[in-house]
Amino acid sequence: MFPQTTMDHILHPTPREGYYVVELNRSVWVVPNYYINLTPIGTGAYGTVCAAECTRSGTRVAIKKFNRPFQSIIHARRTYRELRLLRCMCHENIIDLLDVFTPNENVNDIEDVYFVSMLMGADLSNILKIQRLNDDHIQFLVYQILRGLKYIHSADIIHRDLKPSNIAVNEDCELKILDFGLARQTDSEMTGYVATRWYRAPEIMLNWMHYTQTVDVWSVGCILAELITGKTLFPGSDHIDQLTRIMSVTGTPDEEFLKKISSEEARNYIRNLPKMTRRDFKRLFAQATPQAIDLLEKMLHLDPDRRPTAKEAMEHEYLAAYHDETDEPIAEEMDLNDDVRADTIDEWKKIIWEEISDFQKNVAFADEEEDEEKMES
Amino acid sequence: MERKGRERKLPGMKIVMPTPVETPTMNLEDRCLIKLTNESEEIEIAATDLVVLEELGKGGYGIVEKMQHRQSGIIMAVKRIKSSINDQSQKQMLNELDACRRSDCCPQMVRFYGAMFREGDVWICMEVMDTSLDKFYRHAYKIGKHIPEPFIGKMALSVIEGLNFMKEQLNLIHRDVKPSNILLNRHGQVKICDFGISGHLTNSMAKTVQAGCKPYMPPERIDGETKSAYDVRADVWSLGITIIEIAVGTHPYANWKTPFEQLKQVVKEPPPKLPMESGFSVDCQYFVKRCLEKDYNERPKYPELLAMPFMEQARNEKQFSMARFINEILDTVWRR
Repeated sequence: MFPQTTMDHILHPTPREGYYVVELNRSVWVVPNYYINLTPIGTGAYGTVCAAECTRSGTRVAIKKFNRPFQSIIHARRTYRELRLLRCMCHENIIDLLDVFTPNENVNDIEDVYFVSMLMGADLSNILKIQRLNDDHIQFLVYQILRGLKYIHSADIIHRDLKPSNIAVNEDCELKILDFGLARQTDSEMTGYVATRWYRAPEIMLNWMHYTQTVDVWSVGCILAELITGKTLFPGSDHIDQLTRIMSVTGTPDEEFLKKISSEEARNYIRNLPKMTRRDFKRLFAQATPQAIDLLEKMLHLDPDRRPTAKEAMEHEYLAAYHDETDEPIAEEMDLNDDVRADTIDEWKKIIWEEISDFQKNVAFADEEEDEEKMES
Repeated sequence: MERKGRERKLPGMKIVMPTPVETPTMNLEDRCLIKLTNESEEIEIAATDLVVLEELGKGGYGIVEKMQHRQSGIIMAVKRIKSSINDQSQKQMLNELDACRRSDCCPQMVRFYGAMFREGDVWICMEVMDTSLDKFYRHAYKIGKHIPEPFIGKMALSVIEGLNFMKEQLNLIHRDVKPSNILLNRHGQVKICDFGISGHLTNSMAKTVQAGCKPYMPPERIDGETKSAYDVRADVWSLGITIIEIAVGTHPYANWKTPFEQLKQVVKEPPPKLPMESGFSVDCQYFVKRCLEKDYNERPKYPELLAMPFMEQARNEKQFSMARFINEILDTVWRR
């Protein structure tokens, strides 16, 4: 009666060979046959996630189905960049991309994209809801975040959205950084998009000056504070409220820092505020060790030039039990294809389709290599 | 983690893993019963029976599409909003949807048909209109037409009557008055959409109550020192900004690069006004001036606005046809 449309195709999929359909929470999942026992475990900013068993590898995995990856050019570009980043990165503290697939049969029909990674126990925000962690755990967790950051910063990537819900932890306290959807986005591209700003460095949230990799170190400082106290450090309700809360802890900026702020309106705003002095961190974090307090002092500087880099922070005495420079690798040269440009969604579909095909080709090649090794042995 | 180099001791105690709570199912079905008018029969609509005809808009919240129900041929607008599935936001969202349902008796509101849940989205089914005010005025300027005062008067009258009704009868405040939330149809009707929806659903995407720099936000909502709870006069300010925007063809405030530029312009500088040379009547200029009183204690509420001469003129104007003007603009193709 009515012609088929893309929505119709999504809602009434006929799986292609090797795939099957399962409906979960009123969503249709179309996945390869070797992923079984799918169980919904949550929704993220860009998609929904299921736990599943992989019969090929015998492991439990997390499958993320992207939420309308081709809704707009910005969505498509973000999907591509995350795919590209995850393919290029290889580090123990960064989520690994085990598989990526689309159930659609050809490039013109592509509508859904799924990423597969190792299933971790839980994210840090959910872990914090049910327990307070001891100082040994906190040290190890913060160390691992910084270890992952050292790696991604060495590749000139800035995460920009570190927060407890973007950090996965298992029961052995092993940690992986998740969700690179905001990495490398310029601010103008993010107009109208709002991430949780509670963990964001002021220079990135307020756009008052150029920012550097130490925006991520600020986020680690906020996370460390939350691990210690169990409460969000700066739960601002909007940009100005966020800044007010930050300054009530850090104090209002001194003249030296004000000179670095390129926005005249911001400088004038701050100069007209009543002076606030820096809080005594020993009182604010009464339950923390002196070493933890010292690291917090350093990471939560308003002036990004005075914040340590991830590498420097790992050398802090608070993390001495875990720091080992010989086992804190940096990234090899990465080809992120940042110069890829496309003006239409159809062009992005082609680019993403080719990236997925290339991934599958490489996996098939790796499988063949493994087979050869088995035959030789 | 397999370690090269120095063997490192893991923390002794295991971390307690949260019990994976079964993801709560959204308390909405993937179908709903709708009535096109209060007199018509109820029809059951399933998400799987809706066919996309056209995309109407998209934004940070999600996407709006014109869809047709394959069995009945009914055409509607469907807004799909990503839903955060947690108990608190679900309860609040259902309250918001109930508010939408109760708005059926207001003729200046876009009619809400029903809500469904599918593919991780809440689907909100609404009356489909022909265009939004933001697309309409931009198209008008592209084809070399300006927006005449009678249109502005009648548009504002509809919006204020609708906002007043919702406040007086249902005690609801819009919170996001702007051109893209004011819809027009070829019959000449002007209706408000996203009442009650903007309060929570789109903000659940933003995860905080206020998302970034909002160009229609009044000064008392921006300045940290005098920040106040929301009241209807914030929507009055937003309407004033909207009127200037469509009258002049551009938003009166420049694009802000930082929240401080917004703070400076909206809070510290004089409010925008209709340019003297624009040819608008004194009554129109006065009306806009009153909407944009920076001190919200001085800013009028709806009854006072409705009593002003500009609204009286809009009510009594018989020579200007909204339907003719809207069709004329929509039917004119822009040639480069």
